[in-house]
Amino acid sequence: MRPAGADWDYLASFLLAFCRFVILAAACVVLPFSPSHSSMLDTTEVAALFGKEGKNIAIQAVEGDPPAAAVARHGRLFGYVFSTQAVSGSVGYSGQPIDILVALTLDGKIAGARIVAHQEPILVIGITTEDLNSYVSSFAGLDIRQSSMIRKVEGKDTGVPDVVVGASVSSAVIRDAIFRSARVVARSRGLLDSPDNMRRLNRTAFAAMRWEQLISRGAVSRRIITRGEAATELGEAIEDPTGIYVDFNTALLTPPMIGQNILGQQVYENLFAEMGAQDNAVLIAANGLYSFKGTAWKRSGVFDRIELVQGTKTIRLSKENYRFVERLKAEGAPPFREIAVFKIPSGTGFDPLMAWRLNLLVSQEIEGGGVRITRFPLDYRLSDHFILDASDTAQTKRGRPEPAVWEEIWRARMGEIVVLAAMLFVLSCILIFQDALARRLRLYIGVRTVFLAFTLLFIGFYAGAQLSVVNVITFAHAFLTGFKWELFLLNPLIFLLWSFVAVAMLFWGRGVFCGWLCPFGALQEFTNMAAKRLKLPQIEVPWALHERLWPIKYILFLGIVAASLQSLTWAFELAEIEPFKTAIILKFVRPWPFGLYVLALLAAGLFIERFFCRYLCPLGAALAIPARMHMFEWLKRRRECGSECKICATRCTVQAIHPMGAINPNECIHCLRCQSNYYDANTCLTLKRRLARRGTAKPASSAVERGKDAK
Amino acid sequence: MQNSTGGITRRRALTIVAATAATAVLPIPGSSSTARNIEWTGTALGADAKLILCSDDEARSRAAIADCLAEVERLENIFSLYRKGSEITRLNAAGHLAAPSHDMRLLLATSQTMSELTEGLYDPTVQPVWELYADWFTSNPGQDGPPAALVSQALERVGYHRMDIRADFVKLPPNGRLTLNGIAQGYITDRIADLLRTRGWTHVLVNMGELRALGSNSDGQSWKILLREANKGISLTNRSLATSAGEASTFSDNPAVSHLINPGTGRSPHQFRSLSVGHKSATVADALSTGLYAATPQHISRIAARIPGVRVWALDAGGEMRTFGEEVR
Repeated sequence: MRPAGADWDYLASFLLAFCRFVILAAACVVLPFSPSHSSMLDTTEVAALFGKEGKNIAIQAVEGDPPAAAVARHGRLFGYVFSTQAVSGSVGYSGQPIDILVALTLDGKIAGARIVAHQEPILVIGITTEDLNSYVSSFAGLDIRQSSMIRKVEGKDTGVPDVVVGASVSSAVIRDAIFRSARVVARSRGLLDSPDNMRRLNRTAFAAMRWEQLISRGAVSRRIITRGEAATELGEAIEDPTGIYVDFNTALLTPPMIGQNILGQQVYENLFAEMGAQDNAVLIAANGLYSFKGTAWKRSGVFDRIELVQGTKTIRLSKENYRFVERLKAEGAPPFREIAVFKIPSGTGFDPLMAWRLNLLVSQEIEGGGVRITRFPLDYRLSDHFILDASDTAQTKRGRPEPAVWEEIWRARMGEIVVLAAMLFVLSCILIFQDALARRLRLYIGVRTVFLAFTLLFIGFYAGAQLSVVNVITFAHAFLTGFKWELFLLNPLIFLLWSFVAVAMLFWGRGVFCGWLCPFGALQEFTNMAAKRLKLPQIEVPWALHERLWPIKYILFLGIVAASLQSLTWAFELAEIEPFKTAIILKFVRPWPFGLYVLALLAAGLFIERFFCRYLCPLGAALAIPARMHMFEWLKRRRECGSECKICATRCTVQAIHPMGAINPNECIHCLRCQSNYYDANTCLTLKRRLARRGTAKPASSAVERGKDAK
Repeated sequence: MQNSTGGITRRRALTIVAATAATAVLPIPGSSSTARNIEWTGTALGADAKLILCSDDEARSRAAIADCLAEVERLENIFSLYRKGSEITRLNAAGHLAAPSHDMRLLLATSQTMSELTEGLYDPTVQPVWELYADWFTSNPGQDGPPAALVSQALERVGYHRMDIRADFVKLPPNGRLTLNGIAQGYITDRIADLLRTRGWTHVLVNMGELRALGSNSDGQSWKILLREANKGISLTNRSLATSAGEASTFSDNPAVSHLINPGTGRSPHQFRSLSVGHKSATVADALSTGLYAATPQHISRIAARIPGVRVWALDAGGEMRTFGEEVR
């Protein structure tokens, strides 16, 4: 039936076998050379990651599990530095190890990061290593305890650097490598064991509470010092020991349950709106004889009668952090003679969960000169009512586990995923009802044009989801270096497309992708369409030459596979034969030779439809080889095809129809044009003749008539 | 500077050994109380330190001790010359300090008062002379002290009255350097004792370089301290004791030059082997023991008479013990 194609059958199965052989052989060669990580760390370099000079920095040995090196500055532990490769075995988009040196500070922040080694395909030409390095270094300053891995989750900017344009998967892999490794190291070194990881302030809950409730719940701490007590401490004689020297109250205002009740919603919100997310605020309110404010602060800016002490920290209460509050809004709160609210910036190291004390200082002149200071401490420990403890945290965690990076990406790109899924659904319908569609010429042309427009504009230009032979190489190499689904899940659109293409390939052959889902294919089809409108002459390549040009793409594909066994970088360089990156992903924002190359291909396509697909596309070749296995033969032919009529063969978009009438599935792009011809009495000579034979009553020669038939 | 740390430790060690020996050696048998002494030993401002709490509740004692250690750490972050970034280090580096803690400001004010009371024999700005000695003996080990010209040059940078102390700003004399080593240990001792007192502790011995006793010990006795060089026992109840001993802390093998310097002459005083001061406040006792070490006996009587509740035990070079001030209890 298909004399010419039969040769290609043999070749294809041979190539398939050959590929299997080379990949296996490659596995034997490559695996023993799994990359070993250099443990030598350069002091200056590490210091630079921390943003410090090298002279006071000492790097200890890489040790522990996960491996990381402690970094000391001035003899004190300062942070950790580690390799993402050593910690999490980070693998790049290339399927090859990607190694990033990350410096982590003791407070769980990324101080700096630098790429040590990578073989990312995108970097070969077009996107420079500097681009990627500046992306990596932009992680500096991120708090791994807070930042989500995706830049914009639910519209909030998390501060995570955006992707490198055109290298979305590489970007995602790098992001994942840095975050995951940093979290593992931080957890193992106890950097995440700070109380606010296990126990944290309840910054959301609110319920109205009266002053007495606030006191009984431990939200407000109170100390009443009688005049007698004060006199004893101060060593003074006093007449009325029962009077109140000072009735001293303090509260942490940060939890809304406390602060909003005490200050009222408006004051509370105004106060916290001007503060950082980790800042706190403290209330001091007092009655009695002794003024905790005094008057000196108005001149000196320092409240010299109060000090806040927490553990080893001394926190000054000064004028710039002081806020005047007229009265307390909590129901049942007594009128206070003096009220002060102090902002406690996070830079002071104040930890709202830990106990602290407010010292009231009373100074006395002593005989012979000098002053004597007596301190009246008021202890405060935040009650558990206002703390989310480990079990609450665990519950939230159980309810919403920390999502894998790919899950976050899928969630973030849900809109695109839905559109693509809809497109794939429509395409499935097109394929399943291809006869019904092909019968309706106008509908077919309309549907195909609209679909290709979507493919070009949405899949291509908008989403950048152009499949590439690079994917094939990456996939193959993933089996050699340890297959991980996560790697492929990082780009949801590419993943969905490949899944669909894989199944469609088994059913209908490689053409489903090439004819419907390839943005560059769509671009060529549109440019050619325009050329035809402009009546540019179309060249029909002589069959003998045409057939002999086919192998070029297979050779290119095999060349890329072969090169990848030696070096992925070579393979990715060779893969530049694909104009996809230039035309679709980077939208021609590349050095001019690339643009010129694409324009040349498109120009050729004006005269020879889908010139690139026919002869050069290595991805098409890669898909054509296994596509031989396709199960369905739904493309209809007539007995007369090829013998009496060759009109389909001449109209085929890629000249996949042998002059003898057979469709070569290796070349066919499943565009359904021949099927449209098949049902078009104006085109298909056999059909025309058959209808003519049935009777002159039904000339059936006009499209209008055929349209009626269809109804 | 390395030298000096070692020197300070040795000087202080003496006092501590005395205190430890006394409390360890003098338990009175037959006490019916279940309370016992719970001890912590460690270091504060580079010197050996000790806390003894009388309690039958060990967990509570341990928690109190943890609080005290945090407080010591906090105060060291302010007063330690050997801690990078402490307030005093920053003050010395810049000559001035904005936004000092209350502790720094108050202790500076107290230092100034003590300098006045001791007629300048205690002076926290004596550090330039001290540094001259430290540098001199580092580069000229085994020799006599630095020439008089250098000493008088260093003395020009000394002068407590030229310190400017305000609520939000403190400033040293021009080119001045500050040391609170002669008073901060007493201050820390006081702060720890106050902390424990306000937490309800009534039977405590605090030794943060200087000693302060709250109440009695677990046996209901007053705390017994041994002045080792004088071989004299002293009872402490609700009082503090601070000791200076020159020979215990020298810059080199030369016993004539100790860390204790007369801010007037710039030389080490020699009339006493050790001098202890008892007072209610450990801060006052510490400053006095530092300053009076350089004083003559007449001078000491005069100063002691000026300060209520002070008691001085001075062991002179000839080994004779002289006492000054009021006999308390």
